[in-house]
Amino acid sequence: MASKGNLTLKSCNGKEFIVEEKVAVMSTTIKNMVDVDDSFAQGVIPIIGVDGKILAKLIEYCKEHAEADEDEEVKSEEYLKKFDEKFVDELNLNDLYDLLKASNYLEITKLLNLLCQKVASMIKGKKPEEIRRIFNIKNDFTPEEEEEINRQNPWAF
Amino acid sequence: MEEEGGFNEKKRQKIEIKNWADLDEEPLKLIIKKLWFLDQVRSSLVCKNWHAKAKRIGPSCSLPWLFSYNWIKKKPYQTITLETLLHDPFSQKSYRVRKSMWQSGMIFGGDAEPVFSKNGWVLFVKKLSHDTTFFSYNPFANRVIRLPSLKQDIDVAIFAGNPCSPDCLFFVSYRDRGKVCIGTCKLDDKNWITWMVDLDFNKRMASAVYSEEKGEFYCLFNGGILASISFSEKSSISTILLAKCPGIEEYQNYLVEYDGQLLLVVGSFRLTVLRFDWNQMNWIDQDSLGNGAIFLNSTGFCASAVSAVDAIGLEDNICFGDQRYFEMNTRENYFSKAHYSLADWTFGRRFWIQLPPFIAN
Repeated sequence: MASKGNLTLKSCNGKEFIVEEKVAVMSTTIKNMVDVDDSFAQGVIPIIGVDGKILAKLIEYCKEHAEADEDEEVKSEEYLKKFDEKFVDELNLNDLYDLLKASNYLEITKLLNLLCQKVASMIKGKKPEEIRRIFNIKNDFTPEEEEEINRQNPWAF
Repeated sequence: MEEEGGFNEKKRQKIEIKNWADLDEEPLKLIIKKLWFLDQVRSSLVCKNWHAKAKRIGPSCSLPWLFSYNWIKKKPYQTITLETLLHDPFSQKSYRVRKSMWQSGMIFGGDAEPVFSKNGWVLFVKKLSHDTTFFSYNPFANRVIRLPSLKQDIDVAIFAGNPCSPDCLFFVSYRDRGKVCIGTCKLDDKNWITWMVDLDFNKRMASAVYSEEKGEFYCLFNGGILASISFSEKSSISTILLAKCPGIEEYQNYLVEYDGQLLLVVGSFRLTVLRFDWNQMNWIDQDSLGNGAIFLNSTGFCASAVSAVDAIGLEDNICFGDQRYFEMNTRENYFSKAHYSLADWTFGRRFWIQLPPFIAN
């Protein structure tokens, strides 16, 4: 049971995290849950589809940003920028994918933006074949469809 | 090397790899929005799911972009660079693209000027003392396609189709020994094919437009002569004289295909828009474009005729790249930066450029 001002988040594989409310409500989804239903604020908030490892990452991010929002002096813009950079750089491809999904579901806009920017920078300047290789995507166009696409967009290759 | 590969293979099998093809719509759209045009198109070609979602991101209506250019020449190495600025009216972002004019150990193209643009490609022409040289450039893909040169001075140069496709036909008009001639060439051709036009006059062609629907070029000659030109296979050209309307001014004529109609914009300040009436075989005044707009370039070609611009207040407007708009209802010119708020208006001359076909569809 979380003490006042704290919320308990439970990952899909049963791990519980006690976090400050200001950290948890960086997620618009959680904020809405807490606002609408008081029982969430008392009990445990299940975070569907997000495992403990990813939830820990999300909390790590939200904690830094919530503290920065509260006191600019302690955590300057520059500090946050460095933190963000390090945060995304340390992610492997699977974590990046899971965090994208989770931050989208939990509506953590700042983080979602940061992660999308990271993916965009990985795509930049690459050809479709290279993008597929990076993200391990199977080319599911039929040879006919691919020919048609090549015909329409020959300049893109 | 082999061992290393083997290790990676094992490692890969152990870890379940996430399926990026199934990425949720929201993050995928957000990612693609952060990319610039060419990367947007390329990422949409990765797989079916990305394709379906990226397609919905395209502009809500196909307003042309602004394109301006500068030639940069550097001594002592004699390099020539075509520097272009692309301006996107939707995001109000500008992109700078540079292309070095260097091919097979030679520089080329310096000081060439745009004479036509379509499908994201710009046709550049450079007049030299003994011949005329051509290349087409796509700043979105930063790609250049060179064309053979021609001995004569040209009056009009356009193309039908997409310059990087083997179906594309480049079409120029010139006069040779008292005759109107048409030159055509296709991708990778070494020479232009010359066609004598079976018309009993020696007039300058003022404007030409290609109708994809009808597969014909419509050409307006000085003296108000309108003719259609079409090519059947490789061997023959067919020219049909459609109308003679001597009243039409000799300069600043723009043939435009809009909504299946053949239009003619006449004048430079107070403009007149005429529509060709195929029953009367004559031009008649047109005072409205419905909900559309026409984008004209000062070097004498129509870059784009766009329908459904009423939502952004450009209906019945004839738009020039120098912020000038002519409103057909009031017959007044006005200046506006509302739709194209370029940060730097001093960068070279400005032209309209259509987006390449992918996003425009």
